[in-house]
Amino acid sequence: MKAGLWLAMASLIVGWAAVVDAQEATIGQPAPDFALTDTMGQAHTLSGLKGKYVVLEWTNYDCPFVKKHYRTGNMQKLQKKYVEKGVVWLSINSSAPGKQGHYPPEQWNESIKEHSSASTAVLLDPDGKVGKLYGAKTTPHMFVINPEGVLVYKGAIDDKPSFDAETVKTATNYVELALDAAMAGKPVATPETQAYGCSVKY
Amino acid sequence: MLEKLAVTLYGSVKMGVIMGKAVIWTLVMLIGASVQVRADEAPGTAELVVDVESIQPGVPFRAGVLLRLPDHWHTYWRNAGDSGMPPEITWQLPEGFAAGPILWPAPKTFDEPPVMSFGYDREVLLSCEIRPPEDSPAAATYILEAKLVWLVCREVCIPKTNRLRLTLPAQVEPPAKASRWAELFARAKQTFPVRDDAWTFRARVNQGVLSLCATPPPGVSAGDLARAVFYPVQPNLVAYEPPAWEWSETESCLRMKRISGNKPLPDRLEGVLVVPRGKALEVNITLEK
Repeated sequence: MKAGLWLAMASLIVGWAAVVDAQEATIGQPAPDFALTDTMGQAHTLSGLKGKYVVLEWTNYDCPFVKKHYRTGNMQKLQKKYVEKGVVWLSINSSAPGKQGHYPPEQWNESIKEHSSASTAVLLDPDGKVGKLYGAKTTPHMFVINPEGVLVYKGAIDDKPSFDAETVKTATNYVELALDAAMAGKPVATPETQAYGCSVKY
Repeated sequence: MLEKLAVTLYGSVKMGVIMGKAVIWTLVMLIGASVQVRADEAPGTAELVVDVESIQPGVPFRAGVLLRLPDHWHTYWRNAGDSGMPPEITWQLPEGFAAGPILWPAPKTFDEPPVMSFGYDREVLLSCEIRPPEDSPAAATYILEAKLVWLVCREVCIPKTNRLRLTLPAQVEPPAKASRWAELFARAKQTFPVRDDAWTFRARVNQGVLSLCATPPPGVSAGDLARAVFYPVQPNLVAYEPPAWEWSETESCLRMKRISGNKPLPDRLEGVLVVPRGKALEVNITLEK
């Protein structure tokens, strides 16, 4: 009986640890460092961007939810607004070779032009290592990192989980809220939401 | 077009004796590319169906959207999980008609780590009750219309919009006659989650973990409960992971990682517990904090 109780308690503790350890990129913790090459062949590391706000935007131009934000100009407007304020905006594609949204760098560069992307760079993560490190599940999936390298937001781009272009007009943009609060020295009111979109094509 | 080409090529592969790896790889790419079809060619059909042949004033009937998908494709439940989007049905009904909430059959899991989504494959009926007014004008016919916006996925996702329409005659005298879809509606009933007071549930949030504890009635085996899956109706509440139940003498508990946020917790936990070889149970209980 006693042994049974201990076993039950031990399994509870083990269960608890499993739940806690499952977290990847955690709010309030240093964002995991990474090194990736962009579509122009330029190398980027997160640790090299200390002192700056960084936005990570998981993307796949062939996904209907991503299309919603680019066709309406919503994503480009956000990118432009914050890049002008000194934010480093990195779009990341984790599509594996042969999967939807995977393209060679030259084709990416054409696509980037076509989409009038205003992000700082588009990083390629074909083995999905960085995507999995951050727990990126969907496109889009957004992460905001402060100048100290701490993760202050992760989740959906806004509160309208739909591919309908109309929804952009009335959406509350969580990335905007997070950046505006953090840049004004205020706590981020909604630091984590459930992302929505297409699955990342690992 | 590409699909046809791929099929033709595949045919020649079968006939061919020696095939180079490169050619097979090209075929894989071609078949892969053929999945990226245009929206108007997207697989899956939607049909507006009703359980009566004619409409009587004041007598409710059931109407629904019957979704059919080819193998390997799926669409989504009311909470799509990590990716996707629930189907949206917008009714356009004759004046005075009222549509009730959609009854969502119990979903299944589509687990493509690290992404877990909830939905349906093959065939699903999303239905609701429709109540015509008592004083329906003595029209000869009524037109029911529904706009359906849904997402069909097979690795890649394709958005679809269907505008569905059905004309039904008016009928003054009872009884209402069952339609050719009546059997389909009867079958769909088996797929709805049910309340079962033989089960006891409680839910609690503590330190970023939401626990759902269940006490099953006698006869439910430990093995079955260990493989039971809980589908939360509310999005944005917990992270979706393969279920891991923990046992004590009287109950077993499922621990789910809360999506932190600072948003207020809901007062109730709503969801569906799907027990293998058992029913799908409706869970709607107070969330202790």
